[in-house]
Amino acid sequence: MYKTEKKKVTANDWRYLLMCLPMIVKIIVFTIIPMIWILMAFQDYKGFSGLSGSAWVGLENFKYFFQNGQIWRAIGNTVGLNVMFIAIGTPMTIAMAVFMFEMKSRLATKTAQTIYFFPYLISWVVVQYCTDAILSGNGIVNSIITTFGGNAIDFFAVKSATIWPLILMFCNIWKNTGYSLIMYYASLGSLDTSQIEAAKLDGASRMQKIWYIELPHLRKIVAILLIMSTGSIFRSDFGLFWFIPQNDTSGALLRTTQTLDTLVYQMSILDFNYSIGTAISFVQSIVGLVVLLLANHIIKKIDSDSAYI
Amino acid sequence: MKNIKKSKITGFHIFNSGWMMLFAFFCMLPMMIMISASLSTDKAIQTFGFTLFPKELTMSAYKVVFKDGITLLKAYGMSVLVTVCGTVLSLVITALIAYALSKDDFAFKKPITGLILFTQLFSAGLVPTYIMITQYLNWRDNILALIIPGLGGPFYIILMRIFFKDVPKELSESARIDGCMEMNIFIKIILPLSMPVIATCAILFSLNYWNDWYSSFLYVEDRNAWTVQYLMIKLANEAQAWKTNASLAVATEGADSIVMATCLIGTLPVMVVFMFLQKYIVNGLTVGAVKG
Repeated sequence: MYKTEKKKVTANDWRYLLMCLPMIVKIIVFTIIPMIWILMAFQDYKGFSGLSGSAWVGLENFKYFFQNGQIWRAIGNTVGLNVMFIAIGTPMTIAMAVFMFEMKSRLATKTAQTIYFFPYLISWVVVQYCTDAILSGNGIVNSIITTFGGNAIDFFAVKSATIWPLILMFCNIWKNTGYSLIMYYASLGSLDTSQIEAAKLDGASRMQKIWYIELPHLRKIVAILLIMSTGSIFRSDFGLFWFIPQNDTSGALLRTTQTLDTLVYQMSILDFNYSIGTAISFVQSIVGLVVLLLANHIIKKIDSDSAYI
Repeated sequence: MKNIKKSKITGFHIFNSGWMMLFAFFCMLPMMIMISASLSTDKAIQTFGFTLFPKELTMSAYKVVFKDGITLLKAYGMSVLVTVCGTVLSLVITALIAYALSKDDFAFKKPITGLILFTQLFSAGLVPTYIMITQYLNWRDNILALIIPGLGGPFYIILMRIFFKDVPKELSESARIDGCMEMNIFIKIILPLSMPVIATCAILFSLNYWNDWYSSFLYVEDRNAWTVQYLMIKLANEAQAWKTNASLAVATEGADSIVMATCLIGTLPVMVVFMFLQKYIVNGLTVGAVKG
């Protein structure tokens, strides 16, 4: 259908293309051309001999991938933490958006929105110093524990690794809620007020109003955000997992905090194992793409309005 | 009946505001810690631990930072330069492509949209980009490595496109009939009418550039190319050195107050800008959420 509608390419089209050019060049140089080096995943890449000089090893790197326990651990952590973030973070943020929508005071809503955005403005580097001030030996949590006569906990020791998923989840929700809250709140703002008025006249309770009108209204944006987050199920926020558990300096908590992205960084940039690093990245991209298309397909089946692509 | 309704509302409200205030407290916690620790003495932090209110109030941390502040000042200059250049360039190239893609009769619209969508979904990963930038472009310790790879982004293209599309077609049509060139239509008619979205994108771009530590982390070692964020990564060692320079070093005390003072100075500009321009971020994201 598109073909039959197609007109001749006019002078105007070339002008528009010229306007697109800077961005296209940037995309080609920094995203498309680097894809050549994906070949490295199938080589025993040596930096000094380059792509053409390195030996081909077929699927050897991927074999290593599937046999290496460290990588499976990282996959488990990445997927597990992402599922935790989505399963707990999303309902929490939606609940907060609905609460905020129910607040009648304009000033309170505005203030809350401003304060909730603060964490989004602070970089992980700075957050690291703050979490250290909260969790370290002379941190706030331990001060509270010892004041009440308990024994101080060393949060950064190997034996504390089991509670770190919770700490990381808290940090993640803490940092991103302000941003996604604006989206959900805005979506609620576009709700047809006559619908709410009608429900009120019919004697709907607050909970009924939320359950039958407000939550269904959020369905589309939740679906889109969900599809996008399933697409990054194999990815993780590098700063969060590198700085907050202090993997940059100690590495004591790697058992529960090592994700694929920190592993790629460590293997390739620090240990110069470029081939393995690229192999992992490649798998990350492929899995992300497949899962995203799958999620999109499923949601399209359920509710064709809400699909992403 | 009115009474029943009212008591219901109160119960909900108490739960509601309690919850909202608890979360607000956590959101302000880092600021409180930074302010409190930067105003305390290192000795107090060592003995009493970190607190939410300063103990043994002193300005000595700020004195050290500003006295030996040449590193911080330089890093500040670098961050400002990167942020300004990055934001302006991002705005230009994003607005240009967004305008072209806002035209329904643009013949190459589909392939270009496809290209953007594809790069959003599939990336070569860390190493290929790293090799491209360090070995082929030779941008190690180069300010370009901090600016160019991060230019623009799909989300901002979509956001701007929504806005440009909303400008009535009649305006540009009549200008075209008057013999106005495409570029002039864009600059003289579309852009002035789209200032809100330009502002939103400008703020978000500059926030990203100011807070970007990842590019420095990968491509920078030379002290002359340190940005504020990179300085903060290196801060634990730096702060101790500053303290030694100011002949204040006591090995057992650490330099926590100086670290926190620097973090605060590095975060403050973002906070201030956000406070004043918050409505643009909220409005922009609102449009993105409702129409996107």
